[in-house]
Amino acid sequence: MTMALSTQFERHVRRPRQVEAGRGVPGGYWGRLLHVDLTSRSWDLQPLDGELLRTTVGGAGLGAALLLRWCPAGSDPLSPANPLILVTSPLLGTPLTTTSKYTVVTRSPLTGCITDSLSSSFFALALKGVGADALVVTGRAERPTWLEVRAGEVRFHDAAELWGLSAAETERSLRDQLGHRCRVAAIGPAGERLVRFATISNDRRHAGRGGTGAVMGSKNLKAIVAHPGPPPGVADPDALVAIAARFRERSLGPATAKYRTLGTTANVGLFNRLAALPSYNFRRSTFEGADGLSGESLAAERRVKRLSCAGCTVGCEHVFRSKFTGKAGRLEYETLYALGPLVGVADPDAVLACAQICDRYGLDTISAGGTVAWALEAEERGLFEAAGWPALKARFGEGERLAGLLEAIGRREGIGDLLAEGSLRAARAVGGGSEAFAIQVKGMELPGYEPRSLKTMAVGFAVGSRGACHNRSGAYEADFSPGVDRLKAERGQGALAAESEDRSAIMDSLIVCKFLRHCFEDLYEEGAEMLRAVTGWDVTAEELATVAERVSNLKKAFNEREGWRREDDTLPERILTEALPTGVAAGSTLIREDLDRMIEGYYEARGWTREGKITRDTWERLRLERAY
Amino acid sequence: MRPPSSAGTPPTQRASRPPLLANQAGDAIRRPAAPDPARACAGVVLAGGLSTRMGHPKAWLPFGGIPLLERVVERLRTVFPEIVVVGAEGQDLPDLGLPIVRDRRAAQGPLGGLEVALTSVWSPALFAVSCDAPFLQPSLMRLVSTSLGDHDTAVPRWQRRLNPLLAVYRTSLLPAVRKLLDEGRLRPAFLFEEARTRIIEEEELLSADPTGLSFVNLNGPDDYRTALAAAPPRVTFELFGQPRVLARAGEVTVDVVSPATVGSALAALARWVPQLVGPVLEADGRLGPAFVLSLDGREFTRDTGRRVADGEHLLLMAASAGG
Repeated sequence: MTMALSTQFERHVRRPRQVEAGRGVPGGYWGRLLHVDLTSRSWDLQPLDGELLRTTVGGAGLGAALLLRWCPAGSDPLSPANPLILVTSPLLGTPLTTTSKYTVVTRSPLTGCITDSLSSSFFALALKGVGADALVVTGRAERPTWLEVRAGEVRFHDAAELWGLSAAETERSLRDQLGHRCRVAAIGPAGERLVRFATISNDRRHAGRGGTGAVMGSKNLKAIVAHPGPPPGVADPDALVAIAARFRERSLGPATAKYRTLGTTANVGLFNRLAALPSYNFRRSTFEGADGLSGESLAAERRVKRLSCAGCTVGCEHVFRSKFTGKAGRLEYETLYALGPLVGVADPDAVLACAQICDRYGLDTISAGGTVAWALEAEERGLFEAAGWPALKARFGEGERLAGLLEAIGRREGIGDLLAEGSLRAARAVGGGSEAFAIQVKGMELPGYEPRSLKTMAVGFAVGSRGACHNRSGAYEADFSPGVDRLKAERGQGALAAESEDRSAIMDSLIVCKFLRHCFEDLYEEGAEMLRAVTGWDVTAEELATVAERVSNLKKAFNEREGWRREDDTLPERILTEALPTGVAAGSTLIREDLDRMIEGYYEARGWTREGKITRDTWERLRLERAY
Repeated sequence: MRPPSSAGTPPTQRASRPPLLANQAGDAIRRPAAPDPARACAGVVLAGGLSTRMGHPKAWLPFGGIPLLERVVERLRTVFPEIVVVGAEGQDLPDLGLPIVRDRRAAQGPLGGLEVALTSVWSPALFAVSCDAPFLQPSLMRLVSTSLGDHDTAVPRWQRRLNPLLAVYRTSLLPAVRKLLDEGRLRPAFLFEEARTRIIEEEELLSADPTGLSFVNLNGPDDYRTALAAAPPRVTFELFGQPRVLARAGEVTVDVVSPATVGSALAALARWVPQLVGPVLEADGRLGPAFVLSLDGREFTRDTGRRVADGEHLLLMAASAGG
């Protein structure tokens, strides 16, 4: 059976072209970037040298290097100077499963740090086909604009008629107009109104975290249309097809069954049992309504279909229909958590409705839920009225009110204008000690992993270069593994967090979906094998591990340049002062000394100073100067 | 940032909703597999015995903190969608929220209970068991209840004895049962002689119940005391994600035969919920590589040699827990 599947795949897959000899550019790359300046309505192609590509690979790695080059130090994230960088990867456009992804890299208006947000599917393929490895957008258009990009041509169009539409409506309108072969990445009303956690959307997917949509909106850029052309050739098509066949088979096996069966919605019930499901603005780590929101319940009562991104054999997207409105939409764990337990909402239909509002406006559901949770608690404490703001008139658990608040944020109306700034800025504006329960790191709201019952994840959140993120640090995997006591804070957990960051960094640079991570027998060995087949480089596992470390350091280097301080690597006061009251982790705490010990372990594993600065030795060993 | 100068009210107007998502590159949700054949059978507890030798109503005997009848019913529930309890006229039985029917003819032995059971179930066949089988194994019930084929009844032969109270009967046997009762021929063996009977031999039974726990029954106080002392540890598996979907249950409690280890508990789980074998568990009951266990939600393990204690909870989940 296995052989048959593999043979069948190799026989029927569209074989990649072999890269022409003497082209001077490795397979899988174009060896150039496309720079578009919206202020002057001009564009040009600039070469990307082979050494830069090899030392950063693509995606998040290449994006971090380009941000260091293109973003002038001290640039306001919403100023014309801050570049919006869309980066593809060498594996994109090949038959390798789950590689249809691109990265958006910019200075985040939410955190002031680097943010690298990944999105997937057909737009990524189209972007690769325009003949450049990265699209760097600078400046600000005088009026709302959309860009049309194809190999050898960039056009600037007036976007007045699209302004105010959702990203999905924009996508539909432009594809109706230009033909359905083109693909579109667009912002919704939240991006236009500079909501600091607005997303960029394409093919019903989102570059979700860090406010990339606001950066795009600040440039008066409504949409980017990519007309696909053929991708660049690869070095060894036969080897690549054989690797693709192997990973396709693994991707259909038990290592990804979770994603096919329930998707990440499966986490709700499990995390509740493990006391790792934050609820009521992180006052608890269990939720009484978890059963009704669990993936198992949703699948039994509301699921209508399962979808895949382009070129993906896993198929993790589960679509659910609201019993109340009859409308269908996708849900995954983070959205369920942020618009459910975090704000006390137990009604799956209310969560679905709120998720659809976030999709329509283009809001990051995690930051939206996290900011509203902070606001609900501030309201409980009477802080809005005390500070002269209008009352929120909403309480935890009121799904209908939550929907209203999300729409207000998306439109920046009333109190929504304040909440559109994110929980940290809103807390500083309202005062009354509310920063203590603004559950964020560096301004980015925490995803649905309770740090007090997942101590390795705790350090991963604290040191995250883009703030608290479970996609840039999968340290929770250590917490869920034999051999690690997730309730204890040990120095060694810092090293585990660094290791996890590096694995994420290389997956985000190659780029392969993290849902494929358990399909690798050895990520670095097999990642190098993929890269060899595509590029023709003699890259080894060791070299790839160094790239991973380099990418993590490049992100840190950007943050250091922009004024990172040791005290930025921390967790909110609530997490460090309050014990968990419920579930199997009842009584668990994470005091500051324990967190600091883990952070010291992390800095040590990274080869940084005790204060968390990159050392000269590390700088030189990783040749970080190549990024400038 | 400063508060707005005039106090506003939270906006309540809703934007129009996004349209339904296109079924792009999508596929239909896989429907559940074919129904378990055992579910075409009812489970019946014949609880109307006099308990003379025991000296105490067996249905009420405490075992593992609950009445013995409840313990047996709990196990039947894991296999059969329809459950009926047959008691004697006027007999006091624990209220388990189940239909209780009463013997029409007093003191007629198992055939008397069977007569009323055959007229009381909706299913075309029933699996009959006494209320004094504390270690009844679902894997054995599943084997027996799916063994009828073209026969009217299927009965296990364990240690050279037929076990009419671990047997399956078609409801079409009602006339034959009534005839035997009318004739005063009360031994179930007469029914097996007259009906098309399949004997399930020990070799086959061992595949479902390797230590014969299901055949332990409690006739007198000594049996009761021995069973209490020898009761194997019970471990509850809490199932999450794919295991839960496959098992169609959130929890499964199993008897862990010696040695009391994670490995033995997993082997029992594999017999208890055979649909987990393949996707989740290896054929020999070992944990598949994509899964991990958590002990009561605290320690995580894949160590099959680790000891388990009575009452312990094992959480079975995907190794890719998290995003």
